[in-house]
Amino acid sequence: MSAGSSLIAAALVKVLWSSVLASLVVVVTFSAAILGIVRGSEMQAANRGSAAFAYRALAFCALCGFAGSVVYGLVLVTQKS
Amino acid sequence: MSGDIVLVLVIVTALAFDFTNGFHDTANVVATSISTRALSPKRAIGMASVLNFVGAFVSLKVAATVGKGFVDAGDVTTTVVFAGLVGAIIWNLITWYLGLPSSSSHALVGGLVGAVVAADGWAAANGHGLLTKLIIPAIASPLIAFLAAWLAVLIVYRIVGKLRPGPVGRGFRLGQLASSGLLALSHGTNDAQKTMGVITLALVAHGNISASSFHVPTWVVIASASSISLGTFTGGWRIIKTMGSRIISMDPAQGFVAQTAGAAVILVASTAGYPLSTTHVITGGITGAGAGKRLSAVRWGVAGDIVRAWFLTLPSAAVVAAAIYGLMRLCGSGDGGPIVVAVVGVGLLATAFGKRHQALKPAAEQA
Repeated sequence: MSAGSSLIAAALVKVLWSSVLASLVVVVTFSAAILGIVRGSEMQAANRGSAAFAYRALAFCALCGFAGSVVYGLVLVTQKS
Repeated sequence: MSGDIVLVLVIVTALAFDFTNGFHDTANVVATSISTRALSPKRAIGMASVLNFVGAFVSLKVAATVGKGFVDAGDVTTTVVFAGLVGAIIWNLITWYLGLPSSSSHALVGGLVGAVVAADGWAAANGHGLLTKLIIPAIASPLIAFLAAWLAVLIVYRIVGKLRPGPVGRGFRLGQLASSGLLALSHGTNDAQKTMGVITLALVAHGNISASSFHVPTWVVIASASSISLGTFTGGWRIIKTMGSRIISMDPAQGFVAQTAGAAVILVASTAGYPLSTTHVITGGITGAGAGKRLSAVRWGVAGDIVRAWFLTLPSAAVVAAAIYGLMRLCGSGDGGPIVVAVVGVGLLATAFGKRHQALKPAAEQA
C-alpha cells in the first residue's frame, strides 16, 4: 500500500471513528440525563431522598456532558475548517 | 466584456441550484422532528432555514475540494463550469421526472468533470481526487451514519428501555431541538459549500482569482448561504402540505439518534473536505435507527435506491454535461453557446411549468 493510500485510509477511518464516537457521546449523555430525571422524580415520589438526589446529580452531570460535548464538537469543527 | 455574461450566468445558475438544493432537502432536515412532534412544522422550517444560513459559514474545506479537488482549476473556463452546472440540473430534472434515485451533490461534481473532460480531455480531471474525495466517501458515509445510529439506538434502549415511555418521549422530543438544529447546521455547512466551490471555480476561470491562491470570497459565502436558506424556507411550506404522506414511523428516541448520527457524520466529513450527499447520510441514519429497534424496519428498497444512485448519477451527469458543452461549442467559442443554452433552458422550463399549471387547473377547479 502506498503512502498516499494509507493517508486516505487514515482520513476515512478518522471520519468513521470521530462520527461514531461523537454520536455515541451525545446520545449516551442525553439518555443518561433522561434516566436521571425520570428515576429522580420516581424516587422522590417514593420518599427515597438520597436515591432521588443521586439520580438528579446524574441528570445534572449528564446534561452538562451533553451540552459540553455538543459545544466542544462545534468548536472543533469551526477550528479545523 | 467577453466572458462577463457567462460568469453572471454561472453565478445565477449556481445560486438557483443552491436554492433548489435547500428547497428539495428541507424534507430530510425537518421530517424527523415533525413526525415525532418534537417541533411544529413552522418552527422546524424556520429553525432549519436560519441554521442552514449559519452552517454555510462554519467551514470552507468542501468548497475548496469542489473548486480544485476534482478538476484542474487552471484549465477550466466559465463556459465549462456553466456546462457542468446545466448538465447537473438537467440530470436532476430527468431523475426527478423518471423517479430515479439521484444525489444533487454527485450530479454537480459529475457535471463539472464531464464538461472539463469534454473540453480538455481526461488529463484535466483529477481521477485520484474523485476516487478519494468523492466516490469512497459517498459509499462510506451512509454506512457510517447507519452504524452510528444503529449502535446508538441499541445503547439508548438499554439505558431508557425500562422507564415509563411518556417522560422518555417528552425528553427525547426536547433533545430533538438540539439534534435537528445540528442537522440543519451540518446541511448548510456541506451543501452550501458546493455552490461556493463552483462559483469560485468560475471566478478563477474568469481571472478574478488566481488558481494558485484559491480562496472563497466573502460575498460568495453570503450569497450561497442566503440562497440555500431561502430555498429551505420556501420548500418548507410545500412540505407542510405533503407531510402526511411522508411521515416516517419512528419514536422520539429514534428520531433523536438518527438526526444526531447524520449531523455528526456530515460535520466531521465537512472538516475533512468531503462533499457528501446529505440525503444519503440522513437516510443512513434513519435506517440505522430503525434497524436498531427492529431489523425488519429497514427499508431495503431505500437502501437499494442509494446504491443505484451511486452508480447512476456521477457518470450520467458527466455525459449530459459533456453533451451540453458540445452543443455550446457548436455555437462558437464565445458567449454565444452559453447564452443560447440559457435562453433555450429557461424557455423549456417555462413551457414545462406552463403545461403543468394547465394540467393542474381543471383538477383544482373540480375540487
